[in-house]
Amino acid sequence: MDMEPVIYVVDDDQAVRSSLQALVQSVGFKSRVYNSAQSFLDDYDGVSPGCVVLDVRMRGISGLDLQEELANKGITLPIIIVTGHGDIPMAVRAMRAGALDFIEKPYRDQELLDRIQQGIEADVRHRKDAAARTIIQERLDNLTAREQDVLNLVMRGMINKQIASELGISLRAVESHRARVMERMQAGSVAELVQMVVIAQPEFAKRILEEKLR
Amino acid sequence: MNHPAGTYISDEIHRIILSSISDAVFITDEDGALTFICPNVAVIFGYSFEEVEELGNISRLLGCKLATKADLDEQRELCNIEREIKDKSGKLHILLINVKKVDLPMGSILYTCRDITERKLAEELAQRRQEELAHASRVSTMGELASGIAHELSQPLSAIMNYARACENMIQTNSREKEAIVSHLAQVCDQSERAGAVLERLRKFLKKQHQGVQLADLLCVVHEAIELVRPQANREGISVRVVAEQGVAPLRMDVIGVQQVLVNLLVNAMEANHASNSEGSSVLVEIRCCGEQKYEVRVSDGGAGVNADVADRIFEPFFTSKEDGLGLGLSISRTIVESRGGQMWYEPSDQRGSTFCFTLFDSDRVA
Repeated sequence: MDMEPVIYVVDDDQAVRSSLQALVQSVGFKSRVYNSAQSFLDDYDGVSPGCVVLDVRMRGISGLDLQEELANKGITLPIIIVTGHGDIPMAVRAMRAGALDFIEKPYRDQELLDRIQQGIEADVRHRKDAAARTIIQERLDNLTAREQDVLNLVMRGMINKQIASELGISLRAVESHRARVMERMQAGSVAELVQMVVIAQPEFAKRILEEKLR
Repeated sequence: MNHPAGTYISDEIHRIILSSISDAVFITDEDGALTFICPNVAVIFGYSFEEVEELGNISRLLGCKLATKADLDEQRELCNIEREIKDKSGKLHILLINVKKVDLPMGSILYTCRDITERKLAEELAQRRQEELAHASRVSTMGELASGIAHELSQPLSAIMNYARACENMIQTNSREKEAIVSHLAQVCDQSERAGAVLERLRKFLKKQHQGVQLADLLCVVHEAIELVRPQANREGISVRVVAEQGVAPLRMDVIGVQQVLVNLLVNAMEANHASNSEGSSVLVEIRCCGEQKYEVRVSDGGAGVNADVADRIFEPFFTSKEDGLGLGLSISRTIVESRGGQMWYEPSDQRGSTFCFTLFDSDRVA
């Protein structure tokens, strides 16, 4: 998880590309440059965290197309779109398609570096969340069907007695299942358990709440 | 009258004819000494008959070296020599002078001088207006290309900023990578030159003064024109190709004029392509040799073509199919081409698009 972030510069202008590399390297970032959206797509393995600095106007696959392509592949790398003068409609489209931010040329270098920093932070955060989700989901998948039933009802705020009656099993059996759930989920308290489910299955947690509010 | 008409001319008729025309006539001997002075000499020169008589030699009126003896002996008559002279009051006149060898008792050389000052000034004024209009049209064309040019400039400027800041950061953090810093600084210089070249190209194109005729390589002129529209072409994903026949030799031409015609045709072609939304469209510039020092330049697009019912009006001034067009581009282009003896026309295509063509001669041959 502690991989060094990489700035991916995608620009078809050689000078702009190399100068951006020089700039980000001078403040200590690792960077890779690509002269086309396609070469970036071919090269990117999804492993390294970081963010993309992308010129919106390029020959071949345009910046906007690349953004869509990445989204289709499920790659969530933050994208900072660099636009020339008068490309506001394009920038709007980029933002709608999920770009982290756009920056208009000519920009101040600090502005760009700030956005790159934000981009990296967003990606690191995003990757941590994703990793946490994966771990919790693995634990959830390890529960037996009966344990999942119990967890569902705990999530709904029922006490053991209610759960026993709802599932038609003995109170002792509920207590035993519940203890297994806490153990398998490695949860120290019910509050922790609920938080885990909210992180891994936000839709499920939301549905329960909505049922309650209805 | 016993004599057939025209053979009997009295001194009286002579005098009447000479004083009714505004041209001045002189006869001199071989050395230029005046032997005959027309009575209306004051009309052009401001000097009275007697004053001219006193001057004595034609060179005092028309300047020296008008016609050498050798030239006269060989050609008998030298026509349409243009010369600027000052009249008695110091006012400048432009004269069209004919010098002819004659065999008369009173002398051997006949000079006739016509004052073309006004005609000349009118021509110059028309020429100047023409150039002003062409300039206005160039400015307007540049307006259409402005956003592309802004982009073209912002690229090197961004690069300069990035490199410069990188150097600053590296120096402040005591980076040991001296070579990298030097290389970045060299890039700063290169990119400044790149931005400078964009501006220089613009400046030349937008220059108000007429540059006149100069020896140039047509292929280079075509490429320069393409560079002016390149940013716009890139933005719209239009490729511009050049196909030139072998052996295009340098020729004397009005470089800015030819460039203006080309830029205008290229802009139109790109707009035609853009309007028809053709994917991966291209504009083709062909250069064909059609005779010695004569070329045909053809600009073809892949657009929808010119509507048949307006095709014969497209070269009219103020005719335009563009929403914000002035309708001057094609009309001025044709004037520029024709003023150098060429022709400009439109060729519809069987399939898609249209082709605009013009011919170009070496300007020395035309003049």
